[in-house]
Amino acid sequence: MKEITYAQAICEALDEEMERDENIVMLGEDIGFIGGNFKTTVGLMEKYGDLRVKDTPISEQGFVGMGVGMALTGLRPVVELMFSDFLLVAADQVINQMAKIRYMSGGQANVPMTIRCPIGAGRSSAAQHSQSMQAMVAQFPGCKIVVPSTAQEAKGLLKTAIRDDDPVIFFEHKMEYNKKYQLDDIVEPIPLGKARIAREGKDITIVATSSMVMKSEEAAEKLAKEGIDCEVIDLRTIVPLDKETIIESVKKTGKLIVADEAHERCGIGAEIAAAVADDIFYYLDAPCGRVNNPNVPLPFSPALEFPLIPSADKVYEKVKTYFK
Amino acid sequence: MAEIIIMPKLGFNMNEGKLVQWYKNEGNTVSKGEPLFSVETDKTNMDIEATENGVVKKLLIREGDKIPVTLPIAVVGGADEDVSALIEDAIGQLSGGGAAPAAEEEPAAAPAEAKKAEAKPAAAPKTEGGRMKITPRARRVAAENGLSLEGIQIEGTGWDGGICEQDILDYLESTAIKATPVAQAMAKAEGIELETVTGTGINGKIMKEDVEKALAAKAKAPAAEAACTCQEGEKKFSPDGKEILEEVPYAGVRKVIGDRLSESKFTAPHLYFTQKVNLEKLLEIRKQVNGAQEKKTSVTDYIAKATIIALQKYPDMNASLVGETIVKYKSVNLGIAVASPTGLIVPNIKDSQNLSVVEISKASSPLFEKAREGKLAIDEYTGGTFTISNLGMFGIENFTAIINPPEVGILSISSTKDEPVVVTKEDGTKEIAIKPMMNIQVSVDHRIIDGLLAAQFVTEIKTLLENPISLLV
Repeated sequence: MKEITYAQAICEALDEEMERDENIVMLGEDIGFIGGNFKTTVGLMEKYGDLRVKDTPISEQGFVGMGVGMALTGLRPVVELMFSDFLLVAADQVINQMAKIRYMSGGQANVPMTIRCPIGAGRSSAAQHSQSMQAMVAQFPGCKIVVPSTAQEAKGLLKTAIRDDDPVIFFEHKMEYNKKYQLDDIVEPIPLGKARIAREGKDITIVATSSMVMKSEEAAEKLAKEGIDCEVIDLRTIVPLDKETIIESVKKTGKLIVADEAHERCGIGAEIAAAVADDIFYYLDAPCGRVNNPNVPLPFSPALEFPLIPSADKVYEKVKTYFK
Repeated sequence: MAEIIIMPKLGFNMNEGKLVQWYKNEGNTVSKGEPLFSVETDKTNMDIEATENGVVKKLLIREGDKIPVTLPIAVVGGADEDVSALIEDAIGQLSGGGAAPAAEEEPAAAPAEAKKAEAKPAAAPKTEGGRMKITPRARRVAAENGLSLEGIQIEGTGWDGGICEQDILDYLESTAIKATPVAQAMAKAEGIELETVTGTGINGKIMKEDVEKALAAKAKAPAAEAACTCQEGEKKFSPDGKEILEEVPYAGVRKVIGDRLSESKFTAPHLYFTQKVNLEKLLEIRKQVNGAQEKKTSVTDYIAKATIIALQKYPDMNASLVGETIVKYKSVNLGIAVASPTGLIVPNIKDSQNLSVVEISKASSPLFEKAREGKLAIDEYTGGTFTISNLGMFGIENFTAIINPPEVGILSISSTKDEPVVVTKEDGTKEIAIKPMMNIQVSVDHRIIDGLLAAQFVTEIKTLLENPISLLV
């Protein structure tokens, strides 16, 4: 057991995987000399050389496309986008190429590629650098979507993502990078598609992604003192979606809240609420609730930004509406 | 004088009424005897008249609303009267506020019945657009526990005031009669309704001792209800001075017979038809049959067969009045009245429609034996569709039987006696001859059987008995 930051845990996962498999290469802006905008690749260029850890120009469409090409030739590229918002710059490469090639080639070619990118607001990064794109990309078939919670989870899931023979988009939360976590000395890869029950409870199910898991746990602590026993599910992956774990939990509690930092409209909360109503309508004891960013652009001004961000308090308040 | 108008209880089984129409709006004057509103019960719509002159001050429910009986639905008062307190009181009753203090004063050992009433808040459940506000989960849990939501009175504490799972569970918990397993088994074996037992255990739980007490009370009850007697030495006298030989409780089988027959006689208008039957040929055939085989047939067996054939020809006679429906049965479960040590009992031959005379005889003999020994199983004396009662062996000329409910008819069979009768010979001349004659009489429930049908039915039996070869083929 050791105490390290979330960013260091990511770095460890990359390091251990590159050590293990020399076909793994990295592309991205400032990942080499600088060691990453969020310090997630510190020391990797020195260790593995500038052929395997490549600083790229500011051209997301270019280097994501490059990654797709490398993957087709048998390498395992891990491509970093400085902000998940830039997925839009590379949207054609991501959605039309990376995610489609296995299908379009009739299974003759596959793309063992991982895109890493940070999501989330809270740093005054303004409307174009604060978005959470996980629900948007989940709309398209062809790639897996990972939304890790803690440092330990991020490390284990990133290892699996890199080893996957198909494309994975791995969403790190930018407000987590500098947070300290307890980490096991050896972190095994965590399978994709199996959610984690972060806290067991019987009164209400909170399905959370990314940093919303920790915020939901914090809210659950407070609610427990008031006699409300929350079950917190760390979703881990949006694609594939572990419906089984969610449904087992909601069967027990009868109430569901989905906490995700992306905008509420057409989000993962709506998807899960619909899936639950489809499968276990007669187990629902209340409408499914959501905790999200509202449907407005995220402002630069901290005074305006913070009130919008879904917090532990917002999860707490939402749960309270079910127990009046 | 202002008054609260309540949802009237218009029938013994009416628990809630639906307001069909208000004939008056708020502010309208209303005179005594004028229709005020219309209520739908489970059977019909009824107009309810105002009992006082006044002005409609407040209508508390809307047209189409269903509400339990005796709850307030409107306030009527004098034109200038201030009725705000009364309206508040009425609204309080509607939302169940009035029930709480009474419930708190309930002693710990309250009978289960009282606990049951307390569990039901008076307020009707919230509805939205006429649909009960209840979560899917609550609906499922209710269904799994066999709880009907129709007209149920539960206060919703779930989302937006709707009924949630916990509300259903609380309701089930509060209405369940708590009793120890031993007490439950005892009560079942002794035929005691747990609702009537007072529990003395924790939270009013019914214990073994409570059931024992109830049993003792039940045994004592008939004696306590018996006519007051004044004892004088060994002799007993009634209050008006008659010396009493013996006092027997009106209970058990005697009471069951009594209650059933009074119910039959008081609710079903009886109608009777008698026929005289010449048994000459039947007695001859019976002699031949009994001479030819081991199993001896009785006259009753032939009459049973004739009745079964007639019932199949006239299925209206093989029926019951169940609520609002006349149910005609394909099965003929023919009951035959027997005197048992404890009283009259009617075992019946199930699905007798396809049995021959000999088979009827074989099926009925063991039933009669069991009946005389008082050993009939419940299903052997329930579920009959028609009854015959034969008192021929006692030399009775003629008698009239009361229908065995829920059947619609009964056939009384009297004794066979040699009588002088006018017979028509083959050449058309008539003469007086001595023939074995028997009276049969059918009693029918005139609510559903008319005279013509009953007459045809009894005549059919007569014809069959006088041409007995038709009973054997």
